Amino acid sequence: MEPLLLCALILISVGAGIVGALFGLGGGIVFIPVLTVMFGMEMTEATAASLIGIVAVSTGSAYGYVRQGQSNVRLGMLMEVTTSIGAIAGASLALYLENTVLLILFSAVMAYSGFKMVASPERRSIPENEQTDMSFEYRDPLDRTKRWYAVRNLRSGLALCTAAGAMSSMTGVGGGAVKVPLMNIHMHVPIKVASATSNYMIGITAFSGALIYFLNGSVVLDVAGAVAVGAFSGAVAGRAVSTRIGASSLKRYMSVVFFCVATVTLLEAGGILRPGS
Amino acid sequence: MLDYDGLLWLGIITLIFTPMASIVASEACLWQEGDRKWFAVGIVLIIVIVTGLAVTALLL
Repeated sequence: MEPLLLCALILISVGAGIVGALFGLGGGIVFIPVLTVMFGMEMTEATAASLIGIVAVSTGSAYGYVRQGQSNVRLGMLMEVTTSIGAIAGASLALYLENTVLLILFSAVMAYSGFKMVASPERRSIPENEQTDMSFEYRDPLDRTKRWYAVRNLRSGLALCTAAGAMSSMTGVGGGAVKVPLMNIHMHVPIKVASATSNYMIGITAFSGALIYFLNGSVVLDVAGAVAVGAFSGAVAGRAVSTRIGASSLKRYMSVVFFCVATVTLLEAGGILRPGS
Repeated sequence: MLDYDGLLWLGIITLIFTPMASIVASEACLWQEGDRKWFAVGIVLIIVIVTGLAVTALLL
């Protein structure tokens, strides 16, 4: 690839990394259209580079979030169990289900999530006498206060994670974009914890796919390197920016991102924005 | 001595494995804290990931 194009790819990956780290999204929704439509890559190679980019976003941001105590590592690992099971099932089901239908469904879920993000206010911290087994503490870096929250609807949340994992493996998008609203709206996890935990989780989700593509020889070295460097740098910057944004503002910005994701996915479903064609 | 491409491949494979390293690190912390319940969840996660890789390898 031309050096100028590689530089452009690095810059785009930095942007994707910032957005990914801020909102807990992997960045696949940015990487894949950019690599296929703008850079004319084959879908397999674009997916391989995208997965490496997602791992880079996770690596760049999760360290800081875990160190700050914002990532709920316990909840993340639990949700990843069911997500991974769903992803295995989804890879098998993908042969039998129409991709267009899945993309339309995903687009609807994103639009709904975007609406709920704006419509539902951030919940207050729970007092000590209301704490349960699934109560956790985190420190909001904006005002440095410690807050307690209780994870609700765990069983249904885990079941929805399985569905999210299946959909993600069938469509190639949506790991973080589904899990962040799932955690915040359905499971009552504070938005900053939800996005930080998602950053921890997306790396685990992308690991298997990235490894398989790597072993298959689908990784284009200079492209993957450019995406990794850009995404990692962007993720580090994005995590630093997140310490300066309040929870309500984060939800508003996130809703905008979700509406954009819904639009891009709908365009893809309609054949107007078709990666690989 | 690795050349530029060799270093880049090494860097990429190292990057790919960092999520697994993070799980191992989390498990070490949970074991040190004596949190056996969540440690077991981590073990289940590792088993699921390895199973997923094996299933995918078989399908391919």
